[in-house]
Formats: sequence, C-alpha cells, structure tokens
Amino acid sequence: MSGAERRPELERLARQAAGGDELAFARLVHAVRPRLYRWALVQVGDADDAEDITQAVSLRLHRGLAGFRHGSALGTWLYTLVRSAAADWRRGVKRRSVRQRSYATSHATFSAAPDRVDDGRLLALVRDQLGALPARQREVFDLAELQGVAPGEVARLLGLGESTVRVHLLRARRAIRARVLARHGALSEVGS
Amino acid sequence: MRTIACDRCRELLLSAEPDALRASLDEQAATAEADALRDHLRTCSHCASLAAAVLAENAAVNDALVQVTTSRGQGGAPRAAVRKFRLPRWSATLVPLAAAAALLLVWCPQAPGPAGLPPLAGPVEEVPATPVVNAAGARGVAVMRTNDPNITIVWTF
Repeated sequence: MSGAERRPELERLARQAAGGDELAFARLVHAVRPRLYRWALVQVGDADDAEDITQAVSLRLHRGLAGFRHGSALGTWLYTLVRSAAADWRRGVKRRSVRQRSYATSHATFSAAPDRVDDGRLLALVRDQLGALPARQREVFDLAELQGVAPGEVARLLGLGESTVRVHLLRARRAIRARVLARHGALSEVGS
Repeated sequence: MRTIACDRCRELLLSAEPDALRASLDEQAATAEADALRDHLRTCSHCASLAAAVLAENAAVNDALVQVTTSRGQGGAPRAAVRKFRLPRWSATLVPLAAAAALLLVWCPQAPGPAGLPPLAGPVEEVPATPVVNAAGARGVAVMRTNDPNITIVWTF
C-alpha cells in the first residue's frame, strides 16, 4: 500500500488514538515507525541515535495526539516532531562535547557491535554520500531524490517554499553527482 | 549522431532529474533536453557509464537506508542487545562520591565521633579473624582486612 493510500488509515488511527484507544496508538506507531526512523537516520547519521530519536518521537506523539488538529497533515506534524527531537539530540551532543560525537565520527559505534557490521557498512555508505551535505539539503535529497516525494510535498513537510526546496535539491544533487563523476575521472571535464 | 558534446552532457548529468536520466538510458526520453542527452548517451559509452554510475549511486544509498530502516527501524526489541551503555552526566560526579561515602560509613564506626557527639557505633574491640557478613537478598559482599587491626572494609554491592 502506498503512502498516499495509507494516509486515511493513519489519520483514522490517529483519531482513535487521540480518543484514548491504546491499540490504535500501537498500530499507528507500528505503521509510522520505519518512516520516523529513516527521517531521524538521515538527520543524525547514527543508527542508535536514530532509534533514540524515534523512541522520543513516539512518546511525543502519544503526548501530543490529543492536541493535534486532525484537519492538518499528519505527515507534516510527524516530520516536525522528528526534526524537533533531532534538534534536541544535537544539543545533547554539544553538551557531551567530550565524546566528540558527530555525523562524521559516530561510525565508531558499529565497530563495537559485531552483529551490526553489515549495518555499519551500509551506514558508512550513507554517510559517505550524505554526510558532507548541509542538514537541509540532506533532508531534501532523501525525500525528493531518493524517495521520490514531489517537491511540493517536500515543501509542505519541511515548511519551506517549493522553489527553496528545488534550490536545495539541485545543490545537493550537483554536490553528490560531482563526487560520483570525480570518482570516474570526469569531474575535471565538467565545466562547473 | 552526437547532438551535444561530452562537457554539455556532463553538465546535464549533474542536474538532470533521475527520471530523465533513466529515460535517457532506456531510450524513452520525452523532453528536448532528455532527447539530447539520450542521443549523446547512445553514441558515447563513457558518458553512458557515468549516467549509469549516477543512478547506481542513488540506488545504493536508497537501498542502504531501506535496509537499515528495515533491520533497525521496525521496533525496539533488537536494540536492547547491543544498546550503547551511556551513564547519565551526573553519574561522573555522584558515583565516586557515593563510593567514598560508603567507605566512610564503614570506617566511621572505628573513628571517634565529632566533639560533643557520641560515635556512630561503639569501638570495635573484637573483630574476628575472618568476619562473617551476611548480605540481604541477592547483594554481594567483599570483606577487606587492612594492616590496621581496627580497620576492616566491608563493601556491599
């Protein structure tokens, strides 16, 4: 079932959960959790921290559902929750500055978890591609380029103008593709 | 037939929509720009390989995100097994203080109390050679004799 097809179902679950139906809440979280996790992962680049953020968002979802205006888009609200939780995470990282955990360095986590080596390899690939982008470009690139979300929808999710989204997307695309071309020895031939 | 040169093609490769790139490689181009790209890619194998590499890179990153999300984003059950253990920030200060306080409590019964106050316990005059300490519940106990016969350290944990 596609995201658009699931939207009414998710909104129905959100309504029931807001009315105190715990089973509906559990179903809602189960349905949106992978999406929340991916959004968080793209924002922070660390698998464990993305889990923490996803967990925090689930709690905020539970607390906030009663106040959620059901006429507005659930996806937009969820994305706002993820961004807010990710921002809190970044502030926490700054407070724990001794540990020097950042998007670029947190891959050390995976060396200590042998059963997650494959995740580590995959995440290294993600970091290699997305880690050099500014956070906003990273979000836009994942949503629009990789997941195929229309720029208008991305603009609604991120609370940006559509033209701003297109600019971020173009910059991210050029940055990433320039690296691909450079690896193939073609960058110097590109007049950019 | 090369309708555009390689450098123009690579400019387009930097900015073209993924769908347009795919269509060009599949020879299904629809827009004028994609048509030009398709015509060039049809005759220039190097640029065609670059276009394929760009698409493959996107697909690889997306697959990686999907796989990690599938393996770790479904629920909380697996995380407990390898969860990073993080002590709260206050623990760096409070844990040593608590350990010091525990040692102090063990040592205090042998020390005289402050002026004007009775000692916390009477002087220990008969410490058996091997003191026996029973800990409540599942707690553990370590007994450490010292060179000073008046000081025995008992650590419960």
